[in-house]
Amino acid sequence: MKTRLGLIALAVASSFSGAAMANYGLANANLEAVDTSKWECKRCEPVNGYHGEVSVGAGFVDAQDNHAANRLGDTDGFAGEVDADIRYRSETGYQAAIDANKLGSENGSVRLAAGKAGLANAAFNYGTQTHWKNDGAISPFAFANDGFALTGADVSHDLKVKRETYGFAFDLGGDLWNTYANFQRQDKTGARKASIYSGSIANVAAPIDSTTDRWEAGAKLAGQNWHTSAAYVASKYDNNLANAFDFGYQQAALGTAPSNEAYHVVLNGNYSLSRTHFAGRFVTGKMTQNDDLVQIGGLNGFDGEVKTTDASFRVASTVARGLRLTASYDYSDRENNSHVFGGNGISVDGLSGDITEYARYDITRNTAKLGASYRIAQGYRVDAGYEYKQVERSDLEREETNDHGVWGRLRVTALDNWNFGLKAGYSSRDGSEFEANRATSSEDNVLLRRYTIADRDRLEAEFKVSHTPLANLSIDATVRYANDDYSDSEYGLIEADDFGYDVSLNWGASDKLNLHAFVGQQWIESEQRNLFQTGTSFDQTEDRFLNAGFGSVYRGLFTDALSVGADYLYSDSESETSVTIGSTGQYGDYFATSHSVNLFSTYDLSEKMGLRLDYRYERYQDSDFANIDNIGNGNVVNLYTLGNLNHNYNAHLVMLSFSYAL
Amino acid sequence: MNAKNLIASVLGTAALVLGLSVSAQAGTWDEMPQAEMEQILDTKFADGKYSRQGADGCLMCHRRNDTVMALFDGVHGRADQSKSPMAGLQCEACHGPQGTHRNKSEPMIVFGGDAPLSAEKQNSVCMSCHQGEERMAWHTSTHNLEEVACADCHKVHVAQDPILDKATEVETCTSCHTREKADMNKRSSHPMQWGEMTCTSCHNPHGSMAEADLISFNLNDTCYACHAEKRGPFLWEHQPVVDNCAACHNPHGSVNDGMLTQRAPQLCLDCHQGHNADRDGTSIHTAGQSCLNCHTQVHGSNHPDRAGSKLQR
Repeated sequence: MKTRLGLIALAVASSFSGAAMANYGLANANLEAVDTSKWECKRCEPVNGYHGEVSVGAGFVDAQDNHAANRLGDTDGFAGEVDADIRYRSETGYQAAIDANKLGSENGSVRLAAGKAGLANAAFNYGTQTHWKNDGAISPFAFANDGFALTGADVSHDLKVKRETYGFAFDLGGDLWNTYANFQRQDKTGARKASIYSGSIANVAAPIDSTTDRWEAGAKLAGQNWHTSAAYVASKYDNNLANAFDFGYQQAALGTAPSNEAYHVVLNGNYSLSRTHFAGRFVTGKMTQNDDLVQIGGLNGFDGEVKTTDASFRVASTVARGLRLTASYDYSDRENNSHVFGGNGISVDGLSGDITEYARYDITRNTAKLGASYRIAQGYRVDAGYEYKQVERSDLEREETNDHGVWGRLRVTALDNWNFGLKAGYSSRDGSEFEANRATSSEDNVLLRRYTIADRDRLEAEFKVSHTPLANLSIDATVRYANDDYSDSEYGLIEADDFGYDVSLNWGASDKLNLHAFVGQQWIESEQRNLFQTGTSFDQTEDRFLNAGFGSVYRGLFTDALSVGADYLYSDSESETSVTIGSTGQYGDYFATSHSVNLFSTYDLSEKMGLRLDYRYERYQDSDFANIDNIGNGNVVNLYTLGNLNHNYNAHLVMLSFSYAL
Repeated sequence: MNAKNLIASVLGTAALVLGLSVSAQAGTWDEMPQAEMEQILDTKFADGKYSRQGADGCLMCHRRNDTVMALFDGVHGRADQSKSPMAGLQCEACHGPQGTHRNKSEPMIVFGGDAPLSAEKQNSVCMSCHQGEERMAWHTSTHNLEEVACADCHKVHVAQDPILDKATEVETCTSCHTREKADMNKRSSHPMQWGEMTCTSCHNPHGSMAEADLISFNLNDTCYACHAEKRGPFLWEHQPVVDNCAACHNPHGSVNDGMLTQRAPQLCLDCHQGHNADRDGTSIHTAGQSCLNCHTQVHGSNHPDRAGSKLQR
């Protein structure tokens, strides 16, 4: 106890000590002898008016699979885009800006802003994002009139999500105070992969049509070494579709995401006392959902409300030369106050009135962290920390878990042309007794230990090295290893390993030529023991990933007017699962491989005008053993799939861009 | 597994390598030991011997440097904005009092990864103006504890700081975050290719009051910003979903679809067992959407009947 009090006293004393001052901030500047009467700034050359660059690109995409748009930015056919970075500054300090990024493509955005720093600012933004899953999902079911109907023929569907986002932001105020308000809306449309369980199983392309709004308004007050702010944040999700879809004659066979709302009040504050810094935040709010339930039996009504409270406190202090201490505490509480109204076919507890199948999940987290960083000598630093996390969860077979973790690291930067860092950590999780029969499905195995709450020992290590043998050559390498051991789990996830490395090289061969290359691999292995109605199995999964690439750019051809460059990227994702039930069998192929090439050239037509030519090539192939043809082709009984969703294509893009500097 | 053994060997012997010691850097100004440099600058800063002519005096020598003059293309070179350094102590607002630097006998405060000045001292200059809510947790942030200098990521002597451009932000971040750079190229990942999303869509690099320096109150609320349909509250909830999105998803990327840490049925079997074991790769439990063939609403269901309670409708 005496030692702990001594450390605290030392920290406080050091915080007030002038000897601890290492701050070159303006507030600490000695201005006694400053005489600015002759500071005219005649040689300063502030740029007023418009400046920046705008470019217009036009080209062509050749792709037989729209999935290529995820990498090339556009689908097959013409591709056009506008990029801009234009700024306007007036002599009075007012400024405006336009930032456009691939505007006109399926993944473009633009932001307009105007105002004066310290007075008032306004901004508007717009953007689109499109993500393609597949352009040839085959199903005999089609969506119409809030339901899926059997068409009698195979129908092709696009599985893609398009997001259209727009919003605005305002702020008003100066150094001492500031108020702000902003709004963002995101419209999401498209179709997703879904499934309907109704005797037989039908995988379908379910529509997406929703709108999410987010408002935020707040005020900030700030002084030289403190700041406080308050904000109100509201979010509203509107699903523009029916609350359930029919499936043939079966009503409400597939529920949809209910519209919902969330409201939060946020209070922030921070304060610096010399070299000790405090920060705190308190957030309280609720998430609600009052969509009407489909009236088809079961529960009659539902008022969903979850109250959330988050509080955080941080302190960091440089208590002595080279020694820094940190501490933090976080509290997070989720309290489900939803109400359900009984109905047919659902059991109601005669004493409590609760719906027996219904669980209100409450979660409370307490997290504390302590850290220290000490510079042993010039270029040698050690860091260490301790973390504790307690989580209480209702309606689970284990209601409390406790995590204790320690970590340490040594960093060395004192060696000529070498930097090293070695970090290692160990954590252990245990908790309250398992009540295996509580709130678990009758279909579940009572000996199972769910990996999110099971006892676990975790070991992590990371080694980094950076070498600069020449002034223009650098090599960086990192090796990582992590092991999760669920040693007390008889069934469920038993063990998982994650290890890998990456190496990169950068070489500025000359003033004109730059080269870089990189390679990395990762392996994630996991082991499971499973108990089924008919026996047990031992499953092993190995995820493998390889990523490699190189690039170069040469500047300086044609009297420095022409530059040429090339980038190549290879990635290979693969997962392999073996199942041992007596004998060992394996699932089928599950991989994704891509080769991406970008050849580019820029040419300066004049001081202000330039051309850029891009050629991109994408070779992509993936496979998923789960993608099998429909029942009509004689495969899995009682299952209608969406057909073969695998990809295998070559795609090309050629684009010529013209740029003009203002 | 040879690779596994190799990695274990590398990690196991790394500590021995770190035991090597080499003479510290020595030499003139540019190669001056950090402690010596800081001692000079501390004294110089405390003395407060600012120049007689301000920026005009500095630019007598430094105006021939394009990088120096590029300051006037950006906001830090504006004398007409009260918050700009050029509206105050001009060059010396950031580089410290001139002292006897003019006759090349004293260094000035310099910035960047190669500068012989600790990140903490470099950053104290920037932080004296750049305070407020966005940086309130800087001192306990990962980047501060990693001794990242502001100038490692930001450029001041430019018209527009490249890291503030969506098209170049990710490149800057992934120059250090190499694992996340690789993850972006896995079978599934968030759309970072064209700046549709960037690292700052989820993280505050200046620190936050949430775990992993996330921009919102907690991990799940960060996800709800774009995935509000999963926020609920649903009538029938799936406990790990409301507990922690990262229990099943790796937001940086995965070799599995949907950024799942494992694919179904293996992921589901980690918590649910009891069904029959007919898993040969083409059974009804593995083909199509695997467990999700029947349990179609793994993020929660609002269907009032018993099938809804099993997340089937």
